[in-house]
Amino acid sequence: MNALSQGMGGLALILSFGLLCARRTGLALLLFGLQGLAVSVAVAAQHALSAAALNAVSVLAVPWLARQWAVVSAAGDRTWSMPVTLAAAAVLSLVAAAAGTLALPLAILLLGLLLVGARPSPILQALGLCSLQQAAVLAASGLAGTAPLLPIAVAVPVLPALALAALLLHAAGGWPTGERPKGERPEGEWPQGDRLS
Amino acid sequence: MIPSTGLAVPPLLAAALLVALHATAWRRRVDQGACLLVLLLALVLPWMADAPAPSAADLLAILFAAGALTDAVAGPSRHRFVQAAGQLRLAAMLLALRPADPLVSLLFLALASTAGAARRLPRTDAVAARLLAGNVSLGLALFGVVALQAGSVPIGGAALLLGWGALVVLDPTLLPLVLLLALRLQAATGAESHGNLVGNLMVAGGLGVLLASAAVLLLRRPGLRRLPNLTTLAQGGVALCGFGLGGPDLRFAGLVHLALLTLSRSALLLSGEAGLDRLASLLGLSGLPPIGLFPSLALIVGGIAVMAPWLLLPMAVGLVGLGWVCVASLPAAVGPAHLSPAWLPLVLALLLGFAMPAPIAAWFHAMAVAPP
Repeated sequence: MNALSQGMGGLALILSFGLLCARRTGLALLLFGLQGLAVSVAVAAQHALSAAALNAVSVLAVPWLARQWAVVSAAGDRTWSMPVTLAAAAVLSLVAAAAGTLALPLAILLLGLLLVGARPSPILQALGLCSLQQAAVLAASGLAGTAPLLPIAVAVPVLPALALAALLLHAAGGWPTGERPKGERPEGEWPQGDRLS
Repeated sequence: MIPSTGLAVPPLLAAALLVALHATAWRRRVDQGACLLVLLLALVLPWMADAPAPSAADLLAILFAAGALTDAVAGPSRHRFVQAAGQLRLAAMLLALRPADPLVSLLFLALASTAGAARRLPRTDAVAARLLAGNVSLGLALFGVVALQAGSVPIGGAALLLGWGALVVLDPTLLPLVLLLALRLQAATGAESHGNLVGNLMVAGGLGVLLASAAVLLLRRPGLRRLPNLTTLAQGGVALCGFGLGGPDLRFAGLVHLALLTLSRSALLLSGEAGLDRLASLLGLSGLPPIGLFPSLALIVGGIAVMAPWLLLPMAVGLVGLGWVCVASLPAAVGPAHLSPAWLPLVLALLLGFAMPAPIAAWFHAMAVAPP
């Protein structure tokens, strides 16, 4: 990693802390977009321009589509209080520091997981999941010299697409075709009277 | 090796057809027909004259098709989208068997997991929750793949096993596939200068899954509805321990364990309500003698006793807890024994476990020594 790449990785980590602190959904979307752009610049600094462009388009599309499809919910309460969340984030960052060259991506990954666990709002959880991919893209950028296709493959926005699909389904809240076949039981449910004990 | 890419064609075509068909009876026929076709092909292809050397992927293709067929036969009537999602999941699982780049395997695993989540329709909130939870697992696994490519085996191996493990917790059907991927990971990293780090992680993970499943069963008493899935997880943990310790004998026992697990789960799906066949299936799934998983469990425990005797104590705690909950969940009185399709997989499991024909035993041994 060169100096620009490391600096942008550090900025992405700081923005992860920002995401944990965001009270408003709009601010969280903005912080996520900025984090993704920081990761894209870090990837571009490793001469993986295609992966950087793909990642930039992906991170800008997520907040835009979330707003277009009206799946942006309220940020909601925190599961944990702010001091506890920040203390946990600090401990996780310190743990990640032991990972050598993967310290920055690992810290972003762990903070993304913390965001998923600490904030019950679906939109913030989806942003936390998208952060996981940003961590993987940042880690893959270090390998652009030896495996040029790896950053591009990792930047393919599969996880953001699944997160957006989950948000859409959460917002829909009904049977998509408007009908339910007669006698149908939800998956995994046993018939009544199936209790042996 | 079975051309798993070709095996995936019938379920893909069936998925497209199922979306278009509206008649419930025809959809059921298409659903079952596609699974049966894949099962027949998967059973026949390894015995063809020009077939390549057998590998674990051959066995898993058969197990996936058998599991899907049982589900299509015994499962409830479902919406066309749900049936199509089931076929898509089968196709993705077959495609993931093909030895390929870890990122490609992860992509198919993501597809299988997403199709599995779609089977929870019409409860869209449940699908959304499953998608979000599955996404966490896939994110961890993605990071693990990249970390491994970067040469960081401890971080990469741990992230991959955690991600895959979480996927299996969400969808136990993916268990054999994830075990195969773990075996491939072990084979890929074993040659490097990391000792048997991934193997040790697999043993720790398997033991953790077994003990956690037994603890949940003992403390929460989740009832008969969740018992099969938790028991499957625990048995998967046992197989993971065996695979992690390595060696052809334990790998043979692990493969037989997976086959018997699929047969026992199929028997449970096919069994009637509160009959002797359901009781036998539940006991077999928990590893209680003489039916179901007991023979392969005995093989794995015997192998572990030779290679790592210290593992026997925690494993015994987990297995005794599992058996205890299963026995405690059984009713005082059951209905009379009657002819049920569930006895077919149970008898097959009994045959495989205690009187495996020599050609099939040789086939399993060949798979155990072949690269995964």
